Amino acid sequence: MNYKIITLPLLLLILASPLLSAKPSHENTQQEFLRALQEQVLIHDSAEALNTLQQLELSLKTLQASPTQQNLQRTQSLFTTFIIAWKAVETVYILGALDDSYIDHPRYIDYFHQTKESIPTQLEQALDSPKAIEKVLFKYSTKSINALEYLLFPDPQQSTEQKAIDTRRIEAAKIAVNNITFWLSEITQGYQSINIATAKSTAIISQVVNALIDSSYKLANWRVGEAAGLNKKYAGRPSAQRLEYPVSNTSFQAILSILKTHRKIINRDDAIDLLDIARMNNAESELIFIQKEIDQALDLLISIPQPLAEQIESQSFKTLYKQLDKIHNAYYFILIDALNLNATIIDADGD
Amino acid sequence: MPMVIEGSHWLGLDYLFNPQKRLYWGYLLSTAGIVIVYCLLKRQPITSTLDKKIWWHPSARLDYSYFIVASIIKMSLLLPWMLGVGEVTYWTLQLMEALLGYQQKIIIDRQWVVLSYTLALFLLSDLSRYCLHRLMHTIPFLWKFHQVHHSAEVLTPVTFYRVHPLENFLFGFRYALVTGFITGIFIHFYGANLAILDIIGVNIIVFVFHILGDNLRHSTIHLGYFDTLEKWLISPAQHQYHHTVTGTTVNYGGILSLWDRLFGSLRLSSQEDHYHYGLNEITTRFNSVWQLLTQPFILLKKER
Repeated sequence: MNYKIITLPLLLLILASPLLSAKPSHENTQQEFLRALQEQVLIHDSAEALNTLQQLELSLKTLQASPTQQNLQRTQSLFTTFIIAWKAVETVYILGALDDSYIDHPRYIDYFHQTKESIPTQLEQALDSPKAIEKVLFKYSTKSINALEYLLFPDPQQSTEQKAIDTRRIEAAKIAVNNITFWLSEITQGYQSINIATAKSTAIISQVVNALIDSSYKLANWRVGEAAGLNKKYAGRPSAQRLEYPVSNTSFQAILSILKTHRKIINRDDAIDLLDIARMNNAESELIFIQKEIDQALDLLISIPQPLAEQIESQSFKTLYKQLDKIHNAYYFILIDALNLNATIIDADGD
Repeated sequence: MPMVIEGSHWLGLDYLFNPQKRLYWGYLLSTAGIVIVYCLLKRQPITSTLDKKIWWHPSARLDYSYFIVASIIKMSLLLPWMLGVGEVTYWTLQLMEALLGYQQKIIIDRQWVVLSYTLALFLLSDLSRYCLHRLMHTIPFLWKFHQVHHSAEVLTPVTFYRVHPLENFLFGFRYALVTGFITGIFIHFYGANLAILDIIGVNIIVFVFHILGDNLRHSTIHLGYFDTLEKWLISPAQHQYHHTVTGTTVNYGGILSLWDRLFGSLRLSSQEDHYHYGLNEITTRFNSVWQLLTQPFILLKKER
C-alpha cells in the first residue's frame, strides 16, 4: 500500500530543517579560545620549558668545567625551574590527541608512575659500569626527568655531595638533558606547526578538558594520595618515596605548577578562557565552582610546611588529598551536567 | 536550545514547547501532516479523524482531566524523589574506577564516540523500556497500576499520559539507571569527548520516531507498516492492538519491535482487524481521576 511509504518520511525534513541551524558565534568563540590557548599556553609554556632546559644544559657545562658547590646549587635550582615549566606542559598535553605521532612524547621525557623498574638502581649500575656512559644509558627511563633528578640530587646518606659533581655523573645528566631537549623541541615545534583553531573546535576543547580530568586524577591519586597512603593501593602505608620528586623535594613546586595551569586554562584575564566557553554552554557556575576549589587547594598547599616529604602523614596533607579528589570529581560533574540528561526523566515513557 | 518557557511546566505549556515531550508542537504538527496524507491516500474525509465520539468520549475527557492532575502530582510530589541520571552516572564512574582502575581517556574521532553513545543510549533505553513494560503486564502487583493506562476505551495522544504516578516513578527510575549507567561507562573511557547526536536537544533517533508519528500510537489512525518493517519497528497499529482487550500480551515494544520478536511477543498489524480497547476487567472502576489514582491500591487491598 503506497500510503504506508509516503506518510512516513515526508514531513521529517520540512519540520526539522529550521531547527538544525548552526551557531557561528559559538564556533568563533571556541576558535578564539583555541588560538589563545595555542599561543599563550601551549607554545608559550613548551618554549619556556625548553628555554629553562637550555639554561640547565649551560649550567651543567659550567659545573663540569668548574665543579663547585655554588655551581651545583645553581644547577639544582635550574632543575626546579624546569620542573615548574615542564609540569605546565604536561598538565594540558593535547598534542598527541591532535597528531598521533606525538602521543608518546611525554613518556620519553617523564617516567613518573610509568615503570616498575628502579631508575636509581639502573643509574647506579650505569655509573659503576666501565663502559662509556652514553652506551649504558640506552633506556629512555635512564634519560628522563626522574633520572636527571637522581643524578643532580645524590642521597646525602649514601655519599658525599662531591658525588654529584663527579664527571661521569655530570655526563649522564647531560645525556638526560639532551634526550629531554630533543623530545621537548619536537613538542614545541608540533604546537607551532599545528593549527588547532579548526572547524573541529568542539572536539579539541573536549581534549583539553580530558587533559585536565586526567591531570586532576593523577595529581590527587598519584602525586598526593599514594605518598600519603590514602588511596586503595597503598591504604595505610604512607611513604615519601612515592612522592613525584622524593630526592630533590620539588614535589611542592610540581603540584603548585599543575594547579596554576588548571587555573590558567579556566580563567585568564587577558584572553578567552574555558570559563567563557562554559558561559556559552550555560555551565559557568559549575566551572566557577572548580575554580574556587582550585584556589582552595592552592591555599592549602601553600600552608603546608616544607618539605612535603616530612608532611605526608600530617592532617593538612590529607586535607589536600581530599581537596584534589574533589576537584577531579567536580570535572566529572561538569561533563555530566553538560550532557543535560535529566530533562526527560519526569516524562515517563510508559506505554 | 529550543524555546522552553520558564515555569511553563506548571501550566502544562511545557508539554507543547519542550521537544522532550511527545506533545511538543512540532511532533503534533508532523502527526497532523501524516494524518492528512493518510486520509488522502485512503480516500477518507479528514473530518472523520476529528470525530466528537472519540475526542469527547468520557474516556478521552477523563484523559484530559487526569493529564492536568497527574502533571501537578509529577512536578510536586514525584520530581523531588526521582533518582537523577547524574547520580547514577557518578556512581557508575566510581564503580568503573574501583573495578578497572583509572582509565586514561581513549583518543578516538569524536564522531564515532557520539554516534556509538547515541546508538547505545537508544538501544538499551528501548530494551529496558520493553522489559519494564512487559513486567508491568506480567507481575500482578504492577499490572494493577498499569491497568490505569489500559483502562482507556478510546485512544488519543493524551492517553499516553494516562499513567499512574507509581508507573511514572518506575519508568523514571529505569531511565535514570540505564542512561546513567551507559553515560558513566562512556565518560570512563572517553571523558569529555562525549555528546548525544541530537536535534533540538533530543536524541536524534528518538526525535525521528517522535516526528514520524509516535503520537499516532494512541489514536484512531490504524497506520501499519509492511510486515517486514513491523518485525523491526512497532507501528501505531501494532501498539493500538496492544491496547485491545485481547492484545495485552503482545507488542510491548516502545520504538523497536525487535525485542518483541526476540522474546516471542510480536504480533503484526496485518493479523488483526478488530480493535476493542479497554480491559477485560470492569472498566467502570476507572471512571474518575480519583479512581485512576486510587483504584490500584483498592485492588491490592481487596486481594489481601
